[in-house]
Amino acid sequence: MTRIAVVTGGARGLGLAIARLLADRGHALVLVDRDDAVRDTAEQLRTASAVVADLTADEDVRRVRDFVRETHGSVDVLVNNAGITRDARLATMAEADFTAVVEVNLLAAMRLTFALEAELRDGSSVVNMSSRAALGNFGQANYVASKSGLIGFTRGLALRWSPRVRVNAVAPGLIDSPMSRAMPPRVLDGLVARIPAGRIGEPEDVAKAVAFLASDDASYITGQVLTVCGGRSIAP
Amino acid sequence: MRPVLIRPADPRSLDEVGDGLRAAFVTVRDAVAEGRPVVILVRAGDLLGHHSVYGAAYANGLAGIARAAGFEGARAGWQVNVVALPDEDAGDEEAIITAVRDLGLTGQVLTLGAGLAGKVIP
Ligand SMILES: NC(=O)c1ccc[n+]([C@@H]2O[C@H](COP(=O)([O-])OP(=O)(O)OC[C@H]3O[C@@H](n4cnc5c(N)ncnc54)[C@H](O)[C@@H]3O)[C@@H](O)[C@H]2O)c1
Repeated sequence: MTRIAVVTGGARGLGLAIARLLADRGHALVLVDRDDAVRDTAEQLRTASAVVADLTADEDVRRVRDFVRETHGSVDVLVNNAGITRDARLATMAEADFTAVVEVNLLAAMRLTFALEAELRDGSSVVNMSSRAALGNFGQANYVASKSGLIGFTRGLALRWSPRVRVNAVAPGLIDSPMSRAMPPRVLDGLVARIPAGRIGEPEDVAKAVAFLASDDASYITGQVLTVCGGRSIAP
Repeated sequence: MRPVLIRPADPRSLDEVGDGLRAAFVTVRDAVAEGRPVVILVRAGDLLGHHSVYGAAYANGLAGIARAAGFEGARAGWQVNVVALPDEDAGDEEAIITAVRDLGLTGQVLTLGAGLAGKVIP
């Protein structure tokens, strides 16, 4: 039977890499993004449909749930990947920028997951996109709080929903993305030099970790964080 | 200087998680601007999700704020830490708060009691 995967933030970046890999592995996809470019992405993948939705809005979340219910009836994999950054030093970070990041990265993921509770099939898997930055980062109090909170959500939900649904998190480190490409080359080289693996991560590195946790190969894994950072989280 | 204390209430909704994190962020931002240490008290079990999903998101979000402040302000001498209290009686809270301040730590999550022994380090 075809497995159904919902991937948020699926229009581009890591979400797109995850969608591609899950499609290659035979999943039918529902890609959710506030950017309507998600429609083109879904068309390219063929086994995907798209829902343009802002996941911070209750009515949009209900629309996603209704679409999933009417189109597929149930869900095997939910990947909460949509995320934003609004970086600033702590001293100058505006309250609104703190709230905006927590709203998308943490609360929207929680809202959608709760909304899809009835659709998540027995034996299904939720994968939350956290970040290595949950351990601490400069100028990202909002992001760190949101991604650390997402790990808490992962643990709490794993305990509540076991053994019916597994819930895990992936925590990527520095990944080749528009954000990393926007950095001055010297800064980027300095960061890469501190990664034991000796290279920047590729979106596919993250996608493989997500696909593993989403699959039955990970059927004995729940409430865990898989850090995909080339060893940066243990390096001096 | 006496630390600013954040003692979160148990959140019962998504809104309360968001409001609680925002309030804690403002408290931490303003405290470090004034050079005051901050101690955030959470329940140890919340860090691993033992009590509620909302409590887990909130407690770990607070730990994130402390870690971010620790990362950013260690050189400047900011002191923002989380103390995870055991679910049973934690003992003399005032003494704990003073001890954390006097140790000069920052960005740490200190887990008291043995409730999380043998489990993931939060
Ligand atoms: N790229 C990295 O290096 C890196 C590292 C660690 C963690 N992450 C996390 O991985 C995830 C994807 O990152 P990325 O680099 O691909 O980012 P990206 O900005 O390229 O893509 C994020 C997607 O999420 C969508 N989105 C944002 N807010 C939304 C909302 N309210 N509703 C619906 N969709 C929304 C955006 O439109 C976008 O398509 C994020 O959660 C990010 O925090 C990324």
